[in-house]
Amino acid sequence: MLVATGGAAVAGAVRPGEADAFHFCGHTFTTASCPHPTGLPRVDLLNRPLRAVDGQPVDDLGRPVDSLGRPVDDAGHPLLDPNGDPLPPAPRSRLCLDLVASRYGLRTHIDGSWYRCCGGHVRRLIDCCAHSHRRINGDAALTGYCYAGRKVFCVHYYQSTVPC
Amino acid sequence: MVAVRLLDDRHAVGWACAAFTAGAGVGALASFEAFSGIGLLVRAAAGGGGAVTLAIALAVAGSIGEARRVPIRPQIRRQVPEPWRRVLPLPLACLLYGMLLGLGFTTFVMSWVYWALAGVCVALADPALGLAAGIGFGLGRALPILGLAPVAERSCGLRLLELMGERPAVLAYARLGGAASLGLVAVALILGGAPARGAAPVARAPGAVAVSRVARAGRDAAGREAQGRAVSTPIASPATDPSAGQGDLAWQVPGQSGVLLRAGQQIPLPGANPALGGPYLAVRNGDAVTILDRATLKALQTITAPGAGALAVSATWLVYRRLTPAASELHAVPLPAGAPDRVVASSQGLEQLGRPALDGSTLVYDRAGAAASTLEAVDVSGGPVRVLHRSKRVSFLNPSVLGNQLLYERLTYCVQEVRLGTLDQSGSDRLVTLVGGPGARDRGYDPGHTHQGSEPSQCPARFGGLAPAELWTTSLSPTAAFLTELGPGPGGAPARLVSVPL
Repeated sequence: MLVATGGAAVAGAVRPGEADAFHFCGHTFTTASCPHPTGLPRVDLLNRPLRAVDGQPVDDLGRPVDSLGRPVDDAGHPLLDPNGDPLPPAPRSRLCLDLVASRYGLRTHIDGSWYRCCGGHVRRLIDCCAHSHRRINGDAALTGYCYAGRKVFCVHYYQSTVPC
Repeated sequence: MVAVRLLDDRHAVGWACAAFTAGAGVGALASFEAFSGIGLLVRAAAGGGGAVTLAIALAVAGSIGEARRVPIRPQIRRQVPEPWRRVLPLPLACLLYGMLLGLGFTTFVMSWVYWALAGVCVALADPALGLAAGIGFGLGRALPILGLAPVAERSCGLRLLELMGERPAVLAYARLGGAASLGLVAVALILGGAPARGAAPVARAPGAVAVSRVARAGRDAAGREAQGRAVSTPIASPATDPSAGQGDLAWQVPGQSGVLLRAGQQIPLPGANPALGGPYLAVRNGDAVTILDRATLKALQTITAPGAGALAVSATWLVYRRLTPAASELHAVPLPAGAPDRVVASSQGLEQLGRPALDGSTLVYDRAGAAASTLEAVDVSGGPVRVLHRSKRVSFLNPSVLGNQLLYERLTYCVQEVRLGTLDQSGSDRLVTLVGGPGARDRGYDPGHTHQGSEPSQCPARFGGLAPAELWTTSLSPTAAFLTELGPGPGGAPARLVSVPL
């Protein structure tokens, strides 16, 4: 009874974690995605873009790249031009911190994030925050998980392999 | 000033870690002592027969579940209240986070160890066991935070977080450790028939507090997208690296030698990587470049060019590119040859110099790297390098030059444009043609979800249906742009040459 009562009291203070969603799993509000080279706004721990379907790193042109940033095919082999020379690399920008910042002229920050269970794995949903009253949708921005007067400009996510 | 701030940051992390550890300990002790207390109540009401057997069974079952990585069902799909860290002092927030995570049953738990130990504590009804289990579980909750928080923003910390978040083996090994610990508990119970005091396994606590903060910002550059679409005319396939000059067009057949298109007739050339310019046509045979008379195709001279690949030639200069895995260089040789070549541009490592294009003594080329993409021009007879275009977000590739005119490609993930501008950058550049982006794209929203909110990641509708080919090398004539189109993906259509009227 002690545990049940205490547990209910404590549990009442925390947020439920269902993975209800808008345009991607875990996202329960209407703020739109941060622009991403391949579509769904998946990033790695350093905020650089990953291909959503398989977590393959991609450059700013949306091409899969290896650990050195060289464009590769789906088998991981370097892409070559018709003469057999490697295709040139392209920049690989951080999604919120570089790409959104430069495209929209904002000083962006990653403040807070929240976690949901998506596809059987823990997903970290990340607000891209800025001192902007307008969000990427064009209407009023929400505070979300942003601090210090910043508001949510767009959203992206980090997908872990931790099962849930 | 910086030192003081670093010291402050370190103190803040230290206080937060200490508070979290204290909270985790208090929460875990409360939790497991409560389980032991429940056991005492049950024992008082129903007696203690079979308690040890039940505890052994629970430990064995938990151990097997851990070893087989059986999912935790039902799972507690709750997480700590994130706003606390904004509205409360950080140490207090961490204390409360620690308490919630230490309690165990209030948040996500990734291991059967917690529930098995809870069952063992209830079965054995021993407050000392509850104390030991609580200490073990609290330490298990606190250790990842204590280990990671001080280095969370360093490369080693990021690497550790990446390992935890993206390498299933890490959790698998942690669960194997939990299975072994529970197995030891079971063995101790079997051998001693009594609580295994002080032998509580350390439970892992992945998926814990959402407490990270990154603050960075970047600037520069702006995105813009062009309209319009020109029709291209196929010329040859397989073919690459066009070079136009005075009504002629030359190209390379991949894996073979060059071809000259003159008055509608294709003429095989005595070498690869053909380049037209001034009165010359240059071709390469191994490390030797042969300069031919463009009109008669008679060999005029041969120049040694070790490692040469792509060529560019004009009435007064030959430029060749040497590309190795470690570096790329552009070498210039005066014509008629009489002086040794010299390096006019170079790059190291991943950065790569593109195919050279030459008109008179004006050389243009692209410099592509992971940090930025640049179009550069230089007077090979002497003069500084001029940056024509540069971006950290957009790629500029494959320029060609004719007088003051500059043809180049501008690539984003949505579109590849061919643009015509000027070397002196007077006036605005104009779009010649465009194709779709070079990479494959998903729908921007998860299956079964609404598309609302995916719009910023979508490419503009006017780019929809554009050919997925990748644009490659170019050449410029007074009336047309010549382009190489690479087929999409390995095994796709071979590279082909097209022309677009200007």
